[in-house]
Amino acid sequence: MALLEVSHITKSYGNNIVLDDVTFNISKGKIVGLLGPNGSGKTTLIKLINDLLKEDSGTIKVEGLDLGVETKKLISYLPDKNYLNNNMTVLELLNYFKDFYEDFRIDKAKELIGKLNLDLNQKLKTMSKGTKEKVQLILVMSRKAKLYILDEPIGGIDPAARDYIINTILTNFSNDASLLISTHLISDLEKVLDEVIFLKNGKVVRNGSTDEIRKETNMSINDLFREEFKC
Amino acid sequence: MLSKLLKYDFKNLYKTLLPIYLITLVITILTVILNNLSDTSNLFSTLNGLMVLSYVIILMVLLVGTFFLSIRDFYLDFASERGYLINTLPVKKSWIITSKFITSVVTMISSLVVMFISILILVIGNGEWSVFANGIANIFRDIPGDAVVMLILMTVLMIAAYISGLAVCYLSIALGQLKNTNKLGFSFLAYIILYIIYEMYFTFALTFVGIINPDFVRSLDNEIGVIPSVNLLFGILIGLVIIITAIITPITNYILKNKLNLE
Repeated sequence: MALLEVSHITKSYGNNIVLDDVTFNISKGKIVGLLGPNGSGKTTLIKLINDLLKEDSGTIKVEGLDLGVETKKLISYLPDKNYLNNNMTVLELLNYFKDFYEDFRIDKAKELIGKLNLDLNQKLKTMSKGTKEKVQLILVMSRKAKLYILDEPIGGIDPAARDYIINTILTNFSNDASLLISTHLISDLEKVLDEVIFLKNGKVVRNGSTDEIRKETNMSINDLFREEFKC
Repeated sequence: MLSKLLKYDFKNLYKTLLPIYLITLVITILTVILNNLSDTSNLFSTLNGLMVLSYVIILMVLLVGTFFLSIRDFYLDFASERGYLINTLPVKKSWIITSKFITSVVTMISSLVVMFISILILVIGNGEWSVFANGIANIFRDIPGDAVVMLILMTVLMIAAYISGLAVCYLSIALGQLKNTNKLGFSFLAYIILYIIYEMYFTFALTFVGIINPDFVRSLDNEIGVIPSVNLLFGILIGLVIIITAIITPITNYILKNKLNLE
């Protein structure tokens, strides 16, 4: 059984079809890149998987379960925006996650926060945008989830911070978990991706193992992306 | 999980409310001091006037602000970026909504308590405690048994009406968030429409009561023995408020559970 099953998902906003019959599965222990240019429907798809939006048709299952309280226990989600309460301190946020997520490893989170030399009593509103993003990532990656879903975790940040984020992601999730990561900065992530899903105008135009796609097309994923989505 | 939601909802609201409570009490004490000094000079008299005005304003801020904060908190959790956190927690939507109702009612009660304490300080500070206490004692000494029931029913009605008012606001937000743009504007529009329906519901229901029992309406006009009829009216109103709230709240829960639209 696949960890995540997305089956014939369609989503429109008025007359604008954002996702059109999207179908794919993600197995356990895979790092999957959800790749596509801005406006291709990546964030909408991720929100649907996280039950923040409702599909017009189709089904989404996580470990065979319909979306709901039980699937939220399995998914650790990093949105593409600052979503935490700015009036909370880092410590309050750690306790918040500990209270609501049984799989949250607070010691792990404190260790990662310590490496950033951040004060646990510092409020989020006093931090720079980049530091807030790192704190959010630490909270998400400190859970021992089955499926991590990261929406543009390296978009709009400097290369040094990008390395920190990629390293934090790769060193903090277990082998039996899967990772769905949306991005259009493929060169930074290509070497770690097991599979890719290319999304174009709301449709899946390519889905498969990165090795097989490279062999089949004789191109790197980055080059293929540029070819596929050239303006 | 409900207790955890309550913990964070209370923390969140009291972070703003506690400073307002503190300011209320400080303004109360300053009002008392300046009131006692107002006869000594024109300056103190003028300051006292300003302080009394500030006092009235802070009491309004206290009550309106408490209600506004509760509604704002609900809006932020279901129609803003903050919703990404609360709506991905492994908790039922009904618990989140229940937590909002409980924290909203409790914070309003605590604000009313602060207002009562503030008025007591004002009365005691102005040396009118004995007049005030005697007045209250007289009311309760002479009060008939029916009137005690009436006071209890009135209190229950006020709490039920507050919860019902919140339910209308929450449903308005739930409907407003369905739109992809200008969620706040559509929430206001939904509120206006729901409020009209809400008022029509009470008008029709009470008219219906009047039609099936004209004697009851006439008994409300009698000066003698009116209290039992008023108590019955309060009982009917409480029933009507409970019915409409019991209809509205599951709709809110259904929309937020099945039609959440966090754009």
